[in-house]
Amino acid sequence: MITLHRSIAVRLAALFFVLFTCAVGVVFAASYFVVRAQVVERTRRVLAARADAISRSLAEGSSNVMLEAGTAGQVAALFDAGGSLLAGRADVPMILGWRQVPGKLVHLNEAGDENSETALLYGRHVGDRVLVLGEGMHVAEDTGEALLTGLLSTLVLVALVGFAGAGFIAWRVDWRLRQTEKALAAYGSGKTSIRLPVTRANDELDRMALAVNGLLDRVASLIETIRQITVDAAHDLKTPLTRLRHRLAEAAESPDPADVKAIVHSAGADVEQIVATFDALLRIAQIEAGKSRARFGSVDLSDVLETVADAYGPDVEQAGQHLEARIAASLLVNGDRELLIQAFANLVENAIRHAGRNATITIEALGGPSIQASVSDNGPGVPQAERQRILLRFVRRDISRSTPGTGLGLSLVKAIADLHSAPLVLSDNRPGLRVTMTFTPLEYMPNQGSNLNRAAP
Amino acid sequence: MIHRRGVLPLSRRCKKLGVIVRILLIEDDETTAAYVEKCLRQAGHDVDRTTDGRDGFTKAASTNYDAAVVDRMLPGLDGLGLVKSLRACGIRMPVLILTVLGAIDDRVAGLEAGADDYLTKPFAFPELMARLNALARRPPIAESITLQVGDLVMDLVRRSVRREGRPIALLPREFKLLEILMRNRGRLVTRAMLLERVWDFQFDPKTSVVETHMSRLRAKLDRPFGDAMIRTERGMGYILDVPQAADGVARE
Repeated sequence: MITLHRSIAVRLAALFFVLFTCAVGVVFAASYFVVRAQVVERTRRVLAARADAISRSLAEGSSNVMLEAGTAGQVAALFDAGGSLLAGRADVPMILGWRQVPGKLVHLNEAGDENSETALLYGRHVGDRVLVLGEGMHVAEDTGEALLTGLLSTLVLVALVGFAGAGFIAWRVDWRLRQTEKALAAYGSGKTSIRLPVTRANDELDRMALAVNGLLDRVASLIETIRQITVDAAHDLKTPLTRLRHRLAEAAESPDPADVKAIVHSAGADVEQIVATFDALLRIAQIEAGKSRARFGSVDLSDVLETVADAYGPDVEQAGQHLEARIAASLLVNGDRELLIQAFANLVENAIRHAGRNATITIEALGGPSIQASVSDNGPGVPQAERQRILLRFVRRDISRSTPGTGLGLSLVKAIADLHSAPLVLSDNRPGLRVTMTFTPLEYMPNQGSNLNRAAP
Repeated sequence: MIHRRGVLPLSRRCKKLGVIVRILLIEDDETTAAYVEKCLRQAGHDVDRTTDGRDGFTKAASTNYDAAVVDRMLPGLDGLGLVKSLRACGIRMPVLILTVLGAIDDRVAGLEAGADDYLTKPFAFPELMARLNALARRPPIAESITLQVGDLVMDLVRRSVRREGRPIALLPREFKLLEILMRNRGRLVTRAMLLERVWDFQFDPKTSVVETHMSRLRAKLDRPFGDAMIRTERGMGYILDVPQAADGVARE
């Protein structure tokens, strides 16, 4: 049920109903008075014309012939200067000018259906005598009455329709808002699949509903992401925590101090793994928050890639793989040097871990209107279907479960790429995996401004 | 007394390496503070400990400490504010900031505020000690042209290295690696310190980047000469010094 005073729609409808009724009332009242005044005016002109005619007849010498010849409903009387009735009706008072008197005062001799409430009297001098004419005002009265009745019934009809319409609109708007309210309440209580109803009208409520639905989609996906991360983090941390617990239990029971020392040492490694997972999670969260962008400056991407290639060169060789670096000189981008180093280091580490022996890992960067920086290998690669999924936090392909790793490396790369507005693309290297980040070179940037002058942090 | 390499008791190791005498520790977590204080004392240092930022500032401003270890988050006055205030007052003592893990922006903020180094929690004590030692012996601004440890000589201008007068050809990163070790002669340089200073890695790589480079450096520096100047502190880092064997020979 609509709570009347709590509904904007009801308040608006009521307000418009009152305003509409007032406006119609004013218009109707005005037309009533105008029409009535016109009818009265016509009566006056008729009386004045007759008075003229009688005056002329009297001036020509005829005495009371004309006075009797009035139409039904009209009265006439002629008085001398002293006020004595000379001719005509005795019940007509002697007056000068216009006057309205009750119809009962003068006997109007009207036809059966004419019954004037008021009589209009008109008196004027004719020589030294006074002529008074009178007529019932039934025409004006009837017209006014008819008009008033018509207008009033119209007003009532208009009011009824207006009231019903306002009520319907109020109810309709209230109903739709109530649907919204219900849907949002359900969403709040956990039914994140619920969306607001959208009609085909595409009105303001629909546009609002669409905007809110977009928001609900985003919130739902964030909630789902958080849920997934929480569950996965808990799962991923439980393994080393369980190991840790077992090791400590083992250490507590072991009689040999050297043994205890070794156990505690390996417990330290478990702690390291837990810390690494947390560290990566926090880093991703911080990078996604985007605050690091404030520290962005001009970074030589060539130097970043050379550094990474240099750092991992011996590692790659030790893994029985080959490293090739094809890096154009002085590729300047706007970014954070340390984060970029970490991103490419993660990619190279991934390649070392997954490309297998004898694979060739290639670090490549070419300049141009856009800088394509890629790390590729000719190992087994990643099937198309899984390429997007492995960017998610904690997602590890089943075949990599046996190798160490947090499942966060690529998520971190993705976060860093997003921070740099550098699209990250995983593609088929035929064979192998190619991961490419596309940067906008600093020279091509329209708003490079002060960034050019700032040194990389 | 014979010690296996790298397993000297902590106290002896640190005493031997350190020159810091008085350290101010400002840390509000009781357990961490107590552990760090115990380790520092075992290493032969004087430690003043406080949990409050303002109290820490008063102490730092009134006493002549050799270094301060400051937590990032403190009651009263936070770590960054404290370092800024100290620097504003012209107090130049080396400051190492401790912060919670993963805070990448904090590191830059800390260094910009005037801190000298930065360490994320959780940390191993030898890492803290190594960094404090490196801070305390920062080379003076007017640097010498050559570094020398025993018969190992590095020419910083010509970018050349000689041992026993014989030239050793090093790649640029190997040169940088050796330079850091030589500047910290006799003191532990941790893996993390090398990663930061040689490659700008502000993270822990899952692979053995440092180890592989170090083994290449050793192959050039130690192997041809039959003794080891670079010692591994297992799980922690490296120490470069005159070869122990040669020491032993000299004493006999």
